[in-house]
Amino acid sequence: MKAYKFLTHGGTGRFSDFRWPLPTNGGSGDWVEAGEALEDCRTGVHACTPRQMLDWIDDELWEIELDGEIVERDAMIVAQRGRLLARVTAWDDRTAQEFADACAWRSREFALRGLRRLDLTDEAKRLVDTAELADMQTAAVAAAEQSDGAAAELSGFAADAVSLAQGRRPETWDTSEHPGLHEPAQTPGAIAANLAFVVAHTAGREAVDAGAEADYARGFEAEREWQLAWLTERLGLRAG
Amino acid sequence: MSDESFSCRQVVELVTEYLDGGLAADRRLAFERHVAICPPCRGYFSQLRLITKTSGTLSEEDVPEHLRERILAAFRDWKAEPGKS
Repeated sequence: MKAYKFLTHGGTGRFSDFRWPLPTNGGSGDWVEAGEALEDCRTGVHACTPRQMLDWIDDELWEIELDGEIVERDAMIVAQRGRLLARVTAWDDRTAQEFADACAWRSREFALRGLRRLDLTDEAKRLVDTAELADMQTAAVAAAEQSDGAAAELSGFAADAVSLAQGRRPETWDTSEHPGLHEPAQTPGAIAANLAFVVAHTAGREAVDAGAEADYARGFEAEREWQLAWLTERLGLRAG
Repeated sequence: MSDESFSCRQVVELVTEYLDGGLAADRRLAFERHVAICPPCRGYFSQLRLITKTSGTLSEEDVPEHLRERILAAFRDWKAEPGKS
């Protein structure tokens, strides 16, 4: 069975700290045996389908062949053995940052919906007219200050999303106020994983504002679908 | 499978138990899902794992005398402070 596996830079498992044997000379990597009875998040080769990818985004993405006993869970696949086939080269730091930026831009859509519900058309127009993330953040901060309730919250989230896309803390909207603040270096993969999750929750919040409390999960899931479509199209995968 | 989700605080509290293999399967999954989407927790988790791995290779003789004294003193003071657990 073919599946996918995210690894940190250098082909190492995020949780296992296991350094995978990488493919050489166009062949596959060596087989890795789990050895014992399979157990989720403990024993076994862990991989995912494209549909499960959003929860496990990391620095490198690999095609992996699984063999032996294979257990398919909601969140992952666990197998007796596996070997890396090839790296999905379309997923690199640059693509991860593009994905993070795309998620940040999506947060603008949710802020706009909140502002328009309050007829704050000037604030909405200023937000729409931005073409760079930094400008979008400035307009979102202004919109948050000019509005209240969910519109202010959603505009604030959009401003937060830009900070997160840049690997900074959400509250550091104004970098001049934090000249000495140096965040620990984050890889684009870590930024992308985080921001996609945060913006999906923003979508849930917006869905509640537009409808009812029960709509949160629907909004969250709809945004995850949008993110999955972005990823699968960009990486040339089938969502399955 | 449980849909439990963890906060950063829970990850900090449970990281040692996770590394020791003491968490139940559904909690391990919740732990990993949080770490996967939280950059600060990724960093914390990696640091703790490195410390655990490195300290596991040390023997008592590897700890310099002055450092051993400081560590023991810190533990003595910590125990001596009333109201702290």
